[in-house]
Order: sequence, then structure tokens, then C-alpha cells
Amino acid sequence: MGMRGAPVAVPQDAGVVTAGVVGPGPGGDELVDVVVELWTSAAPVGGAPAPPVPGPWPRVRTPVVRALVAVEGVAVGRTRAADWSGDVLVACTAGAARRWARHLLALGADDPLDDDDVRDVLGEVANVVAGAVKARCAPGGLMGLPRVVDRPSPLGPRGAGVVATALRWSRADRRADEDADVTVVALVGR
Amino acid sequence: MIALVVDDSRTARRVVGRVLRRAGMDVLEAGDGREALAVLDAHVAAGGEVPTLACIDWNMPVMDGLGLVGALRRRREMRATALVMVTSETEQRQVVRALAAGAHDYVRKPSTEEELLERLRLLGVLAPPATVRSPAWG
Repeated sequence: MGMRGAPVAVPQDAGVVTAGVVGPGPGGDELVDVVVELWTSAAPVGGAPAPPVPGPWPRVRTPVVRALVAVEGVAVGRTRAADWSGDVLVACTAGAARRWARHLLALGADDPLDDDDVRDVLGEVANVVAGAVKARCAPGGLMGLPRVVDRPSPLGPRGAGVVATALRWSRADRRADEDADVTVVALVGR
Repeated sequence: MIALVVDDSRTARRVVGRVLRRAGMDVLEAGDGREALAVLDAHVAAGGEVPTLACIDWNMPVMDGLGLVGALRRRREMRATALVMVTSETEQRQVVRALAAGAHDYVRKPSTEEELLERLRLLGVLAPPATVRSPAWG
């Protein structure tokens, strides 16, 4: 997958798309396109979205919320055409998940937000990503309904056949020992 | 003016519903196609106005959006209702399938509030103006 753009200074509390890749797999360019589009149109970003920058894979310790949508029988990738089946995965730290939820539900910082809302929002974000991935692939693929898992698990997907891109937020008041708010979007092949 | 918003995602229903309420519409909600038909029947049986607009997701359990579009198109009382697919299914041939089934327009997720409202103006559901940019995807 090609990296896009040069590193740029990131405004505080703004987002960064880290054009990183975990593991080999087709579809990296498409995934970055999808994530940039999602970021530009819908993500809870303060200020103008920064262009994707290459950067280190984010390290976080907090539990995550994961939403998956199965995509079946599509050819993924501009450079590699092959049948591909797997899951579109959107995994968030707790902070990032709540950012998405507050943003999409138009809630203020002090408005109540329950865990069901957070799960539902993440499922919908995964649904949108899956639709965009499928639309970039060969006709005739299928996509399933979102499944949301909120038990603690590693943020980054691992293994062969995985392509992943991370979105992260920087925050002016974050302590050194606090995790960044991170969303990982990945294609996890079966 | 009544709008029916059908999506298995509560988030999507809330986001689209918020846009439509801001535009002055009253909103009925349902989580799938079958529930939408039941909500509609109950609303009309209670003397409610037939919806001017239905915003319909594609991928839903029980009865999907395509099935619902077909079912609504077969209803005489719904002939003047604008049926708009609001969905993450953005593959070209899926758009064609939806239009062939009777949908009047197709809005892909994510879209902005401006885009959804402009589509509704083009369909004659809404009159101008209103321009606020915020997520309107469902």
C-alpha cells in the first residue's frame, strides 16, 4: 500500500489518519481511500481533517469496542484481483468510541451517553466502511449486518491477510501515561 | 408532513430523523421492513396522515429495504410517497436494482445534512432553504 503525503504538523485535538499496514494483504489502497472519505465526511475531527500520514502504529492499553461486518466474495485491490472474504473491522479505544457516538448523535460533552448507543454507533460506522469497501470491489459481493463485540481485546488486528489503517486524535491535555483516542479500520481476511 | 425512517441502526434513525425534524417533518421510525409496514398500518388506522417521505436502509434483518420498497410501491395509498434509499450499499448495480424496484432516489452513507435536504428538495418533498453541514448518514 502506498503512503500518502508527507508528515504534517497536527493541530491539537485534530485527527490523523495513519496510513500504516499490518500484515500483507490486498486492498490497502482502497482501505485508505475509504478511511479518508469517512474521515472527511463523518469523523469527529476538530478543524480541517489532516491528510493521511505515515506513522508508527498506535500503542494503546485501554479496552476496545470492536464492530465487524462480513463481506463475501469480492475482489479487493487495484493491484491484486482475487476473491476475498472476510470482515471489515472498526476497533476503537473507549475514548474514540465515545467521540464517534457523541459526534454522530450530536450530543454535547455533558449529555448522557450509554453503552448501547456507543455500540450502535460503532456498528453503523463499520456498516458504512463495509459498504464503501464493497462498492470499490467487483460487482456481486455480499455484506452482512454489523456485529459489535465490547469485551477487552487487542486494538490492532494481527495475522496474515490483514490490512489496517488507524485514525488517532491528539489532545492538548492528554497526560503522558494516557492512551490516545484511536480507531483502527481493517480488512481481516478469512 | 410525515416521514418514515426505516433502519436497523438506532444511530442511523436518530441522525436521519434529526435532520427531518429540523426540516419540519414528524418522524415515524422502524427497525426493519416488516416493522415499518406495521408502524405504517397502525399510524394510518389511527387516522394519521400518509407519509410524504420514506427513508429506507438496504441491509436490515427480517425484511430488507428492497423488499420494503416493493411492498410500499404496491400500496395504492403510498403512490405519492417519495421513497429514498439511505444506505451504505453503494455498488452501482445495487442502485439500479433499488431504482428498478421503485425507489425515487438513492443517498449513500455517509452523506451530509445538506445533501439529504437537497435531494428532498429535488424530489419536491421540501421547499428551500436551509444549509447546515453536519453528518446525516443513517
